[in-house]
Amino acid sequence: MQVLKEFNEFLMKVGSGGTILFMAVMAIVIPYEVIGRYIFQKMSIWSGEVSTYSLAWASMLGSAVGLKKGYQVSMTSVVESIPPAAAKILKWTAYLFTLFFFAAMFYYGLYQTIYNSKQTSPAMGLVMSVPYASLPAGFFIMFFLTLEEFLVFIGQGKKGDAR
Amino acid sequence: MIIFLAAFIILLGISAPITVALGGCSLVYALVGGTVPITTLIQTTFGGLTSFPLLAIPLFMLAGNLMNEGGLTPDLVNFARNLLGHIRGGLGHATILACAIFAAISGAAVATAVAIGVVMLPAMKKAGYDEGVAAALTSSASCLGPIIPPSIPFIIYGVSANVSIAGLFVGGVVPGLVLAGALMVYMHFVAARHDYPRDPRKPGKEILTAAGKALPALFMPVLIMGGILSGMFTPTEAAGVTVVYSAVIGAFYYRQLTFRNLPKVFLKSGLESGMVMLLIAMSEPFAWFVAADQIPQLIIDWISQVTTSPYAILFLINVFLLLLGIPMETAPALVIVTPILVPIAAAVGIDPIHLGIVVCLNLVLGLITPPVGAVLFAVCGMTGMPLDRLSRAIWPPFFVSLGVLGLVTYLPWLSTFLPRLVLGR
Repeated sequence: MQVLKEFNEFLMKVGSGGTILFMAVMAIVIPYEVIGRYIFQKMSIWSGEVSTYSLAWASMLGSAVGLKKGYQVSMTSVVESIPPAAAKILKWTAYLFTLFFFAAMFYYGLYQTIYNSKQTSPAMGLVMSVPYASLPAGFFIMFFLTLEEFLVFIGQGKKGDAR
Repeated sequence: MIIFLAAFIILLGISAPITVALGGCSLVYALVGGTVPITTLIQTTFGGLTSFPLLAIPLFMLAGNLMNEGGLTPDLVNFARNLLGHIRGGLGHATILACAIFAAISGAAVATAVAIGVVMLPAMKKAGYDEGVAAALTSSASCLGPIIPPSIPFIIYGVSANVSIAGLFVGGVVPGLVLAGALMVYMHFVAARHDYPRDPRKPGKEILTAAGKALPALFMPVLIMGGILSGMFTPTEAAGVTVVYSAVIGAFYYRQLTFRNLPKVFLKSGLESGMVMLLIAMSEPFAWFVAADQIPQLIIDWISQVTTSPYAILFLINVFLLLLGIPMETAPALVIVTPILVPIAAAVGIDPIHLGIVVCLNLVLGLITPPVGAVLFAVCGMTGMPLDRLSRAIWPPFFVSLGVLGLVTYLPWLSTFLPRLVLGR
């Protein structure tokens, strides 16, 4: 559990750093495009691709880090209105399905990333694996953060190890 | 279709994250049904994450956070108080005005409630306002955030429904002003009944000084809407320009924003927008499967046996959304219902901009509908007020807002005449 916790702390640092970086890229590129158009009278062919691919990366990393910080929402009204024992079974099921979903999305995301390694983007000629890799990267972080939370939930980790 | 819907409802019910429920039902359908390759799920998700119009969401969120961190809000509130504090219920009116101006900068209700509430709630308490009334008024006025442009829900709806975001932004102006006006009328009567104190009337010079200090903030709505309406830039570019403008005035005019706190602001905005963006990305395969299975068509066929009146259908949509808004936040509800409601409304001739504003206003009211509402939680968190007390106090302004929803629903020109006038749509 300690190894998983340390690994997740590392993932959180990488995810947070990446989110900051790609948010900064978007915040610079879009105004640059407007300023370039009106002040320097020229349009760049790369800004659309750089900003939308940064959006994909910032969104996947931001939502993964947000998972740990409680940003992801779920409907808890059913679970809160039934006896605790039954609620625990439902939560177990929810955790297991969530782990399965993140693992499947990681696997097929990675498949699609490799599949697109020979395709290039129309404007910049960037290998399409680069933006596609945001999906497996984000789901990879989400899987391990959820795994830690699940282990705490079933009593394998110490209280306070996870949210 | 049964597998798809059953998986979605079961996953929601067992408290799986809504993003997992949205994507999970598509995954189960692809695995069990076997008629759609799973790569479709990845491709549509990726398509949802790389949409140029959606760039406006993280950028508007970033601009709002830069404004807050840059120290703009106190001057904005001070201006509103100097202008309206002397009339009956003046502090309440100032809260509504400050929320309306902040709404024209930010596009979210919770951000508006927190930014304005943190200054106005203690001020109203100090002046002798009932705490419940003050908290309920701030909560209701914060609903202006996503209705007065710019608006995160309008961007989500616009992208999902393939409707002009600029058209929705312009269409939201009048309903937003009507809501602000209705809340001011409500506040006037409450203040008269409880005889709430007023601020002394400020001399014109003092009001002008306060306006001068708040001018950089007051100019921002002009920059956003002026730029979009004049065709100088798209809503996404407007968001980018707003980011630069907020950063510059936060750093050089208000002098609160430094390079040191920039990463914190970027991260906060990235986490907030990441949650919304993942919802949208997961809703893309959901919408694809909904369309492929012709679910809206089945609902249209079923409804058309009951009624074909647009008014009756709008009534049914409103009742359904009010119920949905109780347990569910605006963004997830929006990504789930938009692909289903838009074809239904189109079939009976409802204007998509009108529908968008009705849907967004309705779901935004869900943020203040007890017992579950993000704005209620945020205001309770700020004031330390028990949720039960705010849940009781919220009903009068909630019903006022509900009345405005009725007006916006049954007077479509409130939402459509400005877009037609300004944009020719």
